[in-house]
Amino acid sequence: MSATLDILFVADARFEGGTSTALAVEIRAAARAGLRTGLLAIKGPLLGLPFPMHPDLRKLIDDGLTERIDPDMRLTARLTLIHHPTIVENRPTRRLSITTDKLLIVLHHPMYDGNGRRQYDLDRVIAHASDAFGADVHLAPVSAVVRDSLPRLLPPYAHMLEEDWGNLVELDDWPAKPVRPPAYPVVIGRHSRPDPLKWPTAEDAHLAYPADGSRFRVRALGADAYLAEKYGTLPTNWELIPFAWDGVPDFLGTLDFYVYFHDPAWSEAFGRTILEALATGLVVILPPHFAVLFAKAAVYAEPAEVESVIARFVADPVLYRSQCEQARRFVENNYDAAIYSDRVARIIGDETTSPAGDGLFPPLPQRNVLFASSNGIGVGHLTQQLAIAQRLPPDLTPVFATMSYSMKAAVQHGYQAHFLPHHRILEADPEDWNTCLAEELFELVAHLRPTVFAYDATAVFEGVTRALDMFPDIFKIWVRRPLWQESHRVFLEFSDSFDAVIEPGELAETFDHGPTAACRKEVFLVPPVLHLDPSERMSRESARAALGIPDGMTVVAFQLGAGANFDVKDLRAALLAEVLRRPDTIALEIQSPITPNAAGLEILGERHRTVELFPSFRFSRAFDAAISAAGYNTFHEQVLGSIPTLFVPNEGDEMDLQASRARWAELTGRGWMMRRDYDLGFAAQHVERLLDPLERAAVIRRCQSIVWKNGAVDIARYVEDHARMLRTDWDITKLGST
Amino acid sequence: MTPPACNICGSSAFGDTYGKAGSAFIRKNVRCEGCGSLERHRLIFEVLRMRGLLSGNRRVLHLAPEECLATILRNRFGGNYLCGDLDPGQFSFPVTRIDLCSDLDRFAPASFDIVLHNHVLEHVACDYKAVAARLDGLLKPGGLHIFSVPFLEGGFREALDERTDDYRTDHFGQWDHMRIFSPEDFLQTLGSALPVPEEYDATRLVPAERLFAINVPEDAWRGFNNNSVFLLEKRQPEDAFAVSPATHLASARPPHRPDAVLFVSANGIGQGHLTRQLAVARRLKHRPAAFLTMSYSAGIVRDMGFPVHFVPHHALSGEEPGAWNARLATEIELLLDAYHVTTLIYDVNFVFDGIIEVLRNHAKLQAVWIRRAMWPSHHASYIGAGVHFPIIIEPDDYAAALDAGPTTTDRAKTTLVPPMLLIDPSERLERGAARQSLGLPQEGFVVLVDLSRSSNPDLTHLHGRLLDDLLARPDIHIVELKSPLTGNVAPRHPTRHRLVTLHPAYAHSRAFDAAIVRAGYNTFHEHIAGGIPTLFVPDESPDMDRQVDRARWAQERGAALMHRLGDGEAGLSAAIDRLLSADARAALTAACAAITGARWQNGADVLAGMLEGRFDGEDTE
Repeated sequence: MSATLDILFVADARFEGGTSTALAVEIRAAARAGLRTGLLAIKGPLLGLPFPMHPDLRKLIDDGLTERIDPDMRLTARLTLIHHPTIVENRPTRRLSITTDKLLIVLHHPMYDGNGRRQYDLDRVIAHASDAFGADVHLAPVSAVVRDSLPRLLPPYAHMLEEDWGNLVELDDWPAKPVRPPAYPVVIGRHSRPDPLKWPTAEDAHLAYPADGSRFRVRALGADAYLAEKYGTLPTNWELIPFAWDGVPDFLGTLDFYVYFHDPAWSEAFGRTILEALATGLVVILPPHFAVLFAKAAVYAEPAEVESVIARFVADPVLYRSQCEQARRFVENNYDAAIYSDRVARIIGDETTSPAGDGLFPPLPQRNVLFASSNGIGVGHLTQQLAIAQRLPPDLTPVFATMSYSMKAAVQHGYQAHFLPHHRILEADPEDWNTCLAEELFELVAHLRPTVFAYDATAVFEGVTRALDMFPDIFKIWVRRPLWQESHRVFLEFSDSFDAVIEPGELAETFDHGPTAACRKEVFLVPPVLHLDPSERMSRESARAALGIPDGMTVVAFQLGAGANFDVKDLRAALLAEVLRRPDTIALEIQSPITPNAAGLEILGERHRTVELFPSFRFSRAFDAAISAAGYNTFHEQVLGSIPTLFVPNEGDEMDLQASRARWAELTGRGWMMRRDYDLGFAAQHVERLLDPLERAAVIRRCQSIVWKNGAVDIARYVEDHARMLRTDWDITKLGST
Repeated sequence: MTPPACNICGSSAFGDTYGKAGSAFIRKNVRCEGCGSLERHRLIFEVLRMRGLLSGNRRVLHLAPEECLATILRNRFGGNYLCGDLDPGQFSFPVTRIDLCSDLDRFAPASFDIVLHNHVLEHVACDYKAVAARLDGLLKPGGLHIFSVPFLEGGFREALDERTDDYRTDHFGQWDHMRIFSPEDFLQTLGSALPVPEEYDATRLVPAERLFAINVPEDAWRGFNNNSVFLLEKRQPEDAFAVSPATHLASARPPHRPDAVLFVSANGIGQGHLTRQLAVARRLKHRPAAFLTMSYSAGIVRDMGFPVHFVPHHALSGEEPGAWNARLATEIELLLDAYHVTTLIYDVNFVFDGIIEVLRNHAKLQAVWIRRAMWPSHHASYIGAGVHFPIIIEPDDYAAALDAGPTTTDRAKTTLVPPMLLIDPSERLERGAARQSLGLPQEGFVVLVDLSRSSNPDLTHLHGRLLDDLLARPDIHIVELKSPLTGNVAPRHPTRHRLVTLHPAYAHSRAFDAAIVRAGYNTFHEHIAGGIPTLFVPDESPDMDRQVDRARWAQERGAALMHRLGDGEAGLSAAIDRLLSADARAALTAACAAITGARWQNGADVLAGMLEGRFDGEDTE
C-alpha cells in the first residue's frame, strides 16, 4: 500500500540549533493548515557525535503532528523538502521508494564560509537528491546571503526558487517583552548554540561586550568553558548561561539590548537567533553586513561603536521604544509562521487537504534490534538491555545475543535469545574463538537484518567488531557504563567501531576518574538506567504477602552476589548472624537465576530464607533494609528505590569500581559501606546502624531527595529514532575501495 | 496616549516628505523614518491587514513599488507578487521592467487579485485612460484595484509632447509629470475610465481613531487629495448577489492561530438552523469552525467533523432562565477562548440574553446574525435584538414575495444572500449510485416521505394515512427519513417501506422519483433547486416559520404541489395521483429549473467567502 503525504520533510533531525527549530515551526504550521506531513530523518555527515533527535521535532512526532517515516516505506508526496544541503552531499545508502511531485532543497547555509572555504558541493547535493527522489531539484535559499553565494549556472534538472525560504517564527512562542526604558547598568545579551565561531575575535568581544560592570551587564546563553578557551579570563560582569533547549524567550525578556557579533570565519546565513531577539522586541545591534537581512529592524554598528549606540538609546526612551516596536513588527510582517501555508500552496497548489484523507497512515515496517552483551556470571548488562528493550515501541522487535548465563531472563520476557559462549567456559584459544564469534554474529546479523545493533559490555571483542565491519549501514550503539578500572582502558579504542556511545549516568559520577571520564563530551549521556521504575514496584502489602512475611517482622534483604570472583563467605556469615540475632528479623537471601549452587547454602533457621526473585526490585517495598553488593543495577535500584542499604562492594579485578559507589553512598548519607578486607570485625556495629529506625529514615529522606528520571527511556527513544534513520554520514561510493 | 506610529514598521519617528522647497507636495511630519511610508501607504496597509488580504494565494501586481510595501508583499506572496517599473535601475531590490504604455498585453486579463499603484498614472506617457482600463482588466472578478494619484486645483491638464522640466513643474507639479489630476473634474477624467467613487472619505475604509493612530492626518481624510486611496472592487459579471467584502467581515489580522468561527444555534427537535450553519462551516477553507447548539441533532455536526458543544435549553434542563442565560454566556466565552474565535454566527430568531451579554463583553467579536425571513408575526418583538449584530445575513427565500412577516420591515441593514444549502444540487449522487447505496431497486417508483419529526399531532395523523394510501398502490416504494430521535418504528410493508437515517439526505435525493415533505426552509429550497417533483405538506404549527406561504408560492409557479391539513382525505388522494403522473412531474421539474435559472449560487458559499475575505472568483464557484 502506498501512503500519500502533502509534504515529506527530509532532515537531519539531530541539529541542535536554528535548522531544527525552523523545521519544527514549518511542521507545526503545516499541521495547522491541515496538511499531512511526514519526517524522514537523515543521519548526515555534519554531526559525528551521538546527538539525539531535537526534542522539538521528537515532540511533533509524539504529538502526531507529523508522521515518522521509515526509509523503506512506499510513499507519494506532493512536495519533498530537504532541509540543509549537507545531508545529501553523500548518496543515501539505501534505495528509496518515494515519489514526489516537487522536490525542494532548503539551503540553510551559504556555499562558502567567511574564509572562503566551500561548505558543501552543490553539484553533488543536486545530483544525489535528484537520484534519490527521481525528480527535478528546486533550490530554496533561506536568505539573500545564501542566494548570492550560489553559482549562476545550474544543471538542467535544477531550478532556483524565486522566493527566499525564510525562517519563520511562531509569534505566540516569542511574546514581546514589556517596553521599559533602559537605564545604566543596561543588560546586554546574546544567545547561540555553544560554538566559539559564534563569538567575535577577542578584541571585538571586549568592545562589543564591555567589561565596565557599572554600566553593563552581559548575559550570554549558550556560553560556557569554551569562551575562556577562546578569550582567556573573562570579565566579571559576563554571566554565562549554558545552552538549553527551552527558556530562551524568558532569557530574552530579561535583556535591554541584543548584541551579536561573530567570528570572521563564520558566515551567518540568516541568524535565527537574531530573528528571535527581534520578535521579542529588543533593540538589536549587529555588524553592518546583516543590514541586507534585517533592514531597519536592527541597528548596525562596528564593535567599537556599540557603547555609543547604547548611550544614544538610553538617552532617548522614545527612540528606544520605537526601535523595539520596529523589531517586533518586522518579524510579524515578514516571518510570521502564519504565512507558511501560503508559501507551500504556491508550490503545490491550493488543495490543502490530503487526497487520500480516508485511510489511516500505514504502520511503520517491523524492524529488528539486536542486543548483544557479554558477562557470564553477571546479569547486569542483560538487565540494562532489557530495560531498553521493554521501552521500545511495538514496531521494533528486540532480539538478544548474550554470553550471560542469565539468558533465561530475556527468554522469560518473551524475547528471542541466542547464547554466545565466552572463550573461558569453552577453554578455547581466544584467537580461534574470535574467528568463530565473528562468523556466528555475521550469520545472525545477516539473518535478522537488524536496523540497530546495541552492544552492552565493557570489553569489546574483536569477533564483534569484525562482524560489524561487514555491515556498515547498521546503526551500532555501545552502551557503556562509567566507573571503569584503569586496566580496561584498552577497550576505549573500540569506540570508533560504533556509531554512538551511550553512557548511562552514575550517581557516584564525581568519584569517577577512570578511562571513560575524559570522553564524556563524545558520548550521549543519559540519567541512570533502571530496569523497573521504582513506582512500578508492588505495594508493600502485596510484596510481603507474596513473600509470606508475617506482620511485624523486619526484613533484611541480602544480595551479595554469587561470590565466584570475590569471596564474601565469611562476611556474609557474620552479617547473617548479626541480623538473625535479633528476635524480629527475617534475613531474605535473594538468588539470581544463575546462583550456581543454591543447595550449598546453609540455612540458619526458619527466619533465614532464600528465594529466587527476578527482578527482585519488584518486591523491594517488602524490605526494611538491605545488604547488597554495589553493582550498577543493584546500587541504583537500592538508592533510587530508597531502600536503606549496607553496600558491600565487590572488589574483584574484572569489576567496575564498586567501592567508589559504596563510598559515595556512605558520604552522601544515601546508604552505608562495609568492605570485606577492612571491616570484617565491625559487622555488629554495621547491622546495629542498619536496623536503627532513625538512621534508616534519614537515608530514605536523602535518597528521596534525588531528582531522577529513567535513562532507559532516553536510550529506547534514541534507538527508536535511529532505527528509522536514512544514512548519508558515510560515502557508500567508496565502499570496498579501501 | 500612545503617540502615532507607523503600522507598517512600528516606528514612531516621522519626518517631512522629500521634495524641492516650495513644491506643492511637501508635507510635514508624515514620512515614516523607519520604512519611509507615507499616509497613503499606511492607509493601504491598514486596509489590507484589516481585510485579511495579506494572506492567501493571491497574485499581486505592484507598480512603481514602494519598498515599505514591496518587502512585505514579496515575503507574503512570494512568486505570486510581481513588481514592475519603467526604470528598474532606481530600485535596490529586483523589479521587472514594465512600460505601461506597451507591456500590459503581456499579462493575461483577469489574472491578478490585487493591482496596486500610487502616483503612477500622472507619469504615463500615453493615454492614461487606456492604461487605467487595462490595469483594471487585469483583475479577476472580486479583485481589488488600489491606487492613488496627485491632485492640483485648476482642472485636469496634460501634455504628452516635449516640454521643459520647468514647464512641467509649473503646470503639473513635478518635472516628470505628464499631467495632473484635479479634484473638480476627477469624475469626468479618470472617473470616465474607472468606477471611482463620487466622494472620498477615508473613515469609510478605516475608523477615525485608527487613522490618527497610524498618522494619517485629518486633512487627508476627505475629498480628492494626494493621499486619497481608491479601492475599486472588480465586479462579478452579472452577479445579483455580489456581496461587498466588507471590512468588518474579514478577519482583522493574519492570525497566528487561525481565527475560528463559532456557530451558535437553538432548536431542540429541528435541524434547520444547524444544517444551515453546517452549510457555511463546510465551505470555510481557512478558518476552523466550532458549534454550540441546543439541538438534539448535535451529532450531525460531530459526524461532519466539527467540534460541537450541546447546551440544553432551559425548558429542558429546568434551570431558572436568568441562571441559564448566565451559564450560556459562560459556556460561549469558554469556547471563544478555547478555539480562538473571532466571529460568532448566531442563527435563531430569538436572541437569548446570554448571547447579548457575550456580545456586550466582547466588543471585538464579530457578530453575525443569520436571520431567515418568513417569520411568524408573533415573533415581531424579537426583531429589536438586531441592534446587537453589526451584520445581519438574510438567506433569500424564494417565496419572499409572499412574506408579510416582521423581518420585511427591517431589511435596511441586512445583507441578502442566495438560499443556503448544505449540499449543492450538483454535489448529489447520481441516481443509480444513490439507489444502490440506499438498497433500492434500480427500477421501481420511489417516493421520499419526510413528515415525521414533528410535534404537530394533526400532521402525525395525516402521515399515517398517507403511508397507507401510497402502499395501497402497487410498485410504489417509500423511503422515509427518520432521525435518531424517532425511535423504533416498524415499517408498514416488509419490502416497500423503508425507514432510513440519512444525513445529509439530500445527497441521495436523485434516487427519488417524487417527494412528500414539509416546507421547511432547507427542504423547500433543496427540493426546488434540485428539481425534485414534490408535494409539500406545510407544517402549520404556530411556532414554525411560514411553511404554507412557501408551499403556496411554489404551487402558484407550478413548481410543486401542496396539500394542507385542512384539505381533507379526498384532496390528499388527488394530490398523490398528480404527483405520481409522469407528465405532471416533468412539468414540476421544468418549473423548478425556471426558478433557479441556469446559474445556481449557494448562499453558504457567499457567506463563507465573506467570512474569509475571499475576492477571487474561483473560490466562490
